[in-house]
Amino acid sequence: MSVEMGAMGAMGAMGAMGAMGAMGAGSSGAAEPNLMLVDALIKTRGAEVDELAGAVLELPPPKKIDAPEAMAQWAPHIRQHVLLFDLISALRFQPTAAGATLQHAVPGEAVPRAIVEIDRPSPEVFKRQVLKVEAWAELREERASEILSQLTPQYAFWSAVANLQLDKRPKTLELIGLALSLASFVEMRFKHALACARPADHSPNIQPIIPTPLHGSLPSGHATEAFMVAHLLEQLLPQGARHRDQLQRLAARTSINRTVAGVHFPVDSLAGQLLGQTLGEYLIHHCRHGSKAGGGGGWRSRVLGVSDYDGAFDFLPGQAVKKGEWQELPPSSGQTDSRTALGWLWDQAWVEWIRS
Amino acid sequence: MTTAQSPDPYGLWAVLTAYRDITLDARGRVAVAIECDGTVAALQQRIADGSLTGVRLPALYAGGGVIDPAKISFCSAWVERGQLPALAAQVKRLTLGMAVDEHAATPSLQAEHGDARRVVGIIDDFIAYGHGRFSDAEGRSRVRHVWSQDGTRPPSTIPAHWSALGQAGYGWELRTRGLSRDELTATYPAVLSRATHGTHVADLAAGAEPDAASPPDVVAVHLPRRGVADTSGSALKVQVLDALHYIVQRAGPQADVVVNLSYGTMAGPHDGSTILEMAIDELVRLRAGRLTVVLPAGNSYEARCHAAFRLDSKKKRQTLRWSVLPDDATPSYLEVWLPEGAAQHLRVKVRDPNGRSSAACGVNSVWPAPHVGPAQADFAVIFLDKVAQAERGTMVLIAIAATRPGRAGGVSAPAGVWQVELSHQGTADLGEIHAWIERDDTLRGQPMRGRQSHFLDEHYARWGRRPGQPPDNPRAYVKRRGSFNTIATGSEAIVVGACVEQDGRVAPYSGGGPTRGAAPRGTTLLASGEDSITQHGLRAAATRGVGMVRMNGTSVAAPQVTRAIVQMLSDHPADSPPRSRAQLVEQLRRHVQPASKGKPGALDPRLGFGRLPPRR
Repeated sequence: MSVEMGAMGAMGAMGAMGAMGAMGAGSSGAAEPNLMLVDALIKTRGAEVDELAGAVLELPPPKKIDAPEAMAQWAPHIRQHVLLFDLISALRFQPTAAGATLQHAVPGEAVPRAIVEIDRPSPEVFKRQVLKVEAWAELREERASEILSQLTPQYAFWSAVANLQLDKRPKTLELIGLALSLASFVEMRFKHALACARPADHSPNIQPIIPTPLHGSLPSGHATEAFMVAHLLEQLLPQGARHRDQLQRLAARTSINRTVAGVHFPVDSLAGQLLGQTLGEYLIHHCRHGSKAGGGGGWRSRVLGVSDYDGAFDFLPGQAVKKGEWQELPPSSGQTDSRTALGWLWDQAWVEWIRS
Repeated sequence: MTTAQSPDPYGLWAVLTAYRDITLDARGRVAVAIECDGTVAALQQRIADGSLTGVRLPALYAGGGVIDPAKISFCSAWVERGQLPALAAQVKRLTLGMAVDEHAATPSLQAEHGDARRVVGIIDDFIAYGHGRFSDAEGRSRVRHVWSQDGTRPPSTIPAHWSALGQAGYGWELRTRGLSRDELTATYPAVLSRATHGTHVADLAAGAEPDAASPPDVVAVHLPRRGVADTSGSALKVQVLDALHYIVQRAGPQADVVVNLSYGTMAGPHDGSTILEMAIDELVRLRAGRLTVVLPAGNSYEARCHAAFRLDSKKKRQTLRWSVLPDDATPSYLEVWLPEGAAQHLRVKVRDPNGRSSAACGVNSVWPAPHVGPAQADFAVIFLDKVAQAERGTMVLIAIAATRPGRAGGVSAPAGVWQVELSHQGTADLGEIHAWIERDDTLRGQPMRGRQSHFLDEHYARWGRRPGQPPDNPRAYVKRRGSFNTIATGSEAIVVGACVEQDGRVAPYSGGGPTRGAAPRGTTLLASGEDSITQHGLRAAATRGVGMVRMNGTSVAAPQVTRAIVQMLSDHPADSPPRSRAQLVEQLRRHVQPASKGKPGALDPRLGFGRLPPRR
């Protein structure tokens, strides 16, 4: 698994994994394992432990199976593996005639809950969208530094808006990383299913200023991730509602910058915004649902159908996301403690903001 | 406004868009520039006797000072929007400007002026009046009066020195008499850019070492920041007109005044008949040699914002392709100016980048109809036989809303290539048709709002072999020739283009005629806009200390001519100053090198009659 993760880290959209890698590295000041160190440890023990005395320490009693609190024992990147496994296990991805749907499977229920349905725009729509990408290219000189700085996840920009100070809030960093990873898995699955060509495939006049990524155009991964994190921070921060306007504007600007760069159509950002907002709500729901406080409400499922696309569409700041259909899960049956590993991380991140 | 004979099409656009792009004052009034049907004094009388309500003129036009309102016919006013039709019916014409909040206090009519013989007026953004370059031998500032035209008191650390300017009814005045330079710099805004356009220009026009022989006094006007942020034409004309009156009043009846207005716009009749140009001409003539106004030729020669073409029995259709940029927070405007008699033969149709079209509009029609979904219009075609922008000729205004939605959302227009199709319904030769895209950029130091749109034309040669400049292609409708500052086509202004010092060539951006008017047809003369082949612009004062910065353009060429004129006035014995523009130009000619091409004495519409020798 960790080898796969490393490979994914090489993909731009999966930069979050890179951050996890950094978290995994020892930060206790210990030297990296090497032959000299191993030799030194053997010699030290050999010299100082002279009897097989069988000294045994007392451990706390074992936790109950699958206890969320055990999360505290693991390295951050291991926690990411656990949580991603849980999140993805509940997802059902289903291609349809016109696109694909993402659903949440409820244990013991035959009918899954809707999350997102995205259809593929017609070739005619993309043909007309080429003109929009050409128009935005006028801003390349002005936006170049932003475009380059936003190749990797936009931690610096999120921190600038909300003063995240992630060095002292490691669990918030983990939560953002988890959101980015989930977004990446889902968006890549959609991108593969819809298999939309990039602007540079449509026209030799686009000439993007950054390498065109080796995956499909719609939905935009940057838009998905930017809007998902915007929603996550809005929900996590004590004064999240007051950050909402700037977080949303940042997400829109980040999305538009990809069009300026020449690697995305405006409709890609539209689909990415819809996916990101919905995944954000979905993730928050599961965080809250599994937290100490419980509850969690639900999320809104959204559909982007063929008729929602228009070749004349341009993605502008302030673009509203569709309202969607309210979805909620049945209350946990009989169990008094519905806390989950994800809920544990949410609680930990939540406390980082209350303490400060 | 429909009752007026020559309505302002920008006013109709304002109605279509519920005034969202017009700056109103705190009471919801608009500001207008007016040409009276008679004198300003007569208009004042109609307001005083109650036959005209909801109209208020700045006290600058009330008389009692240097300018007699019974001898002028141009002024500005605040008007309640409901009273605009009534006012329009009682004046020759009026055009919309930007409103600044009026002071609540009763305007003071007391005239105050200096006693200097030579005064330089600078109308610009912030001018560092406490700078050593404007200091006299005693260490006092030669900038005697500063009028900050903003609606709010300048954000100075010593606000007390800024007093509400009663004579204007708006803005704030600083009288520097009795204040040391340290005290003066304490009245600057707490946060001030290292360099400002106004300081740079003022230094070139009137900066001097403290021991210089008899340097002139300066009267400075800081244009409102909101107007500087919106560079389109309508924004500042009211404040510029008021500023001219203020400078003349403050300089006093005996002073020879040279005003430098390093500002310009791009769309207009280009025949000298806008209200601002005719108001400048009127003031200059009224002052009979005691007032000179110096303007830049504009920097738009290569901006691809001017088109010229003919329609006749053979060529019956012309489509202009107009590239409107994304993320533009201000509207984009195109003015098509028709020769007399052409209007009834033409239809104008506009197609947006998504293929949506207007109707084919004939003369005296407006699309969309004003009553259909007001405030929803994202573009409009306004084709009126007579407009308030000019005395003669017909203008078709094509207005496109901002492409960046406002904070609260609302209407925005699509960015991309718009097409304006002009089709000739008859067979007559309609003569030369001109189209200018209005200025819509963002000035130095301002937050990004406007983005300059331009024409696209496959026949236009953009690059060519430099440092020369490709000539206009006869097959292209986009023309460099005729790209000229809209407010610089009047009869009395001295208009300055920019040249490069090393080789004396005209700078590629420097605007040029021929204009649509009778003589003068363009630039009066050139001055240096570039003194280095490796760096742009000229060095002049930054806002503080001994700092210098480089700025370029016809904006920095103009103040050198302002300076030369002031110098000429000083060199002359008091009994023989030039008493007309013709005399002034005749004297200037003796100081210049002839234009690098053309016959000696010829007046080239771009090169003028020559170039001012470089400063040394």
